[in-house]
Amino acid sequence: MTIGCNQLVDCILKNCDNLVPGVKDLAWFINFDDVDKDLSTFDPTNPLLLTSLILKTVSPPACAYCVTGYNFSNEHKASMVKKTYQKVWDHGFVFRVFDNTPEIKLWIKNAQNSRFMIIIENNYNKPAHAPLAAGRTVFEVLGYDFGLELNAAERDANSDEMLGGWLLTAGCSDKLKESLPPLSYFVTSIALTRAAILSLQCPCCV
Amino acid sequence: MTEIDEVLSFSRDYINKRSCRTPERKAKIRQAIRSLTGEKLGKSCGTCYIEALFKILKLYSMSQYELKRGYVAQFDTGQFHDVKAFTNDNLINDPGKYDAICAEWVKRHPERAAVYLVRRPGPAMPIMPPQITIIPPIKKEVSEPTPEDLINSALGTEKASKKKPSKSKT
Repeated sequence: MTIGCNQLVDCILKNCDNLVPGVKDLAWFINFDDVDKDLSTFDPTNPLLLTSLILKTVSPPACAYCVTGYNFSNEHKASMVKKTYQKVWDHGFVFRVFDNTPEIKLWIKNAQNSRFMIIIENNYNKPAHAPLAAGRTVFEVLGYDFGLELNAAERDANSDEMLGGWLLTAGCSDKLKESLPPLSYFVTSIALTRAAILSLQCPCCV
Repeated sequence: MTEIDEVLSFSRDYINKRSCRTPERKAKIRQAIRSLTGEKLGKSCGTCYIEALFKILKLYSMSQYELKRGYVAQFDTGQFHDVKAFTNDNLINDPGKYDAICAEWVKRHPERAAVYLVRRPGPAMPIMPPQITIIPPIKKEVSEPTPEDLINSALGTEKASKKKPSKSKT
């Protein structure tokens, strides 16, 4: 029997660091097929820690598209779903677009039939506790197994809250859920993780 | 020669001489800029082609190396020119500095370079000392048998093998 396979192997101690809720306004959307899973790597001791996310070399070049909210308008939720035999994970991302141009509508139209991964940035950055580095809680990747899809898109022209913008909900498909909770994304240090994300970014982000 | 190399080869003429702006070259620029940035050029926009050429020159001709997007190249031990890690963005933004660093990284980690490098310069031509001359190998002319010869020889051996052995007088 493999030690640690479906067995508890560690303790959870009290967290004395200040836990900060919420995600940042900037998120990165990557077309699911553009991710090179053969070259992306995980921490050898923890399959939930993604240590490099590599894109395929295709033409036109694959990249991560930025979606920017406003004033903490992005929301993220992950929850376990109990199936008959196994338990799976639902990844959800709610984001708001405060605009209604034809380009935005085309973006939504394209997204409705596509699958994508999302990189989110948490506000919570757990400080370093030797030997663990700081920044391991900052970036997360949603939809690594199957990709997320657009599950709802709504625009209420008279909405007081949205002022005629779009409320969009991305999540797993109804049947196929993710096998793991959202993956932590961390490349050696927070600075290198940011550098890696910068190298993924599309030119339109700037 | 790739399509981008081809575009780079005629870029100077294209910009300077109107007569060099042929539809074939325009098509090649369209393809090149599409493959590099995903941008679609309007066929009738003359200045767009020149702008696209400058973009291609900026993007392509500066760095000799290209890393896979998302990969952070790191030196396992020590640093090189005070750099411990770099990405493709560094190669694009500061090729003068990072090309040398990337070359060193390729030397130190060839197994990673084989996987994560998209583009790298080809091997340089060997520099020969002037007193040495290379003599081309002398080829011996060997006449190859024609198909007819092969058939004949095959049939001949077959016939020979079908011959009944002569009865030896005892």
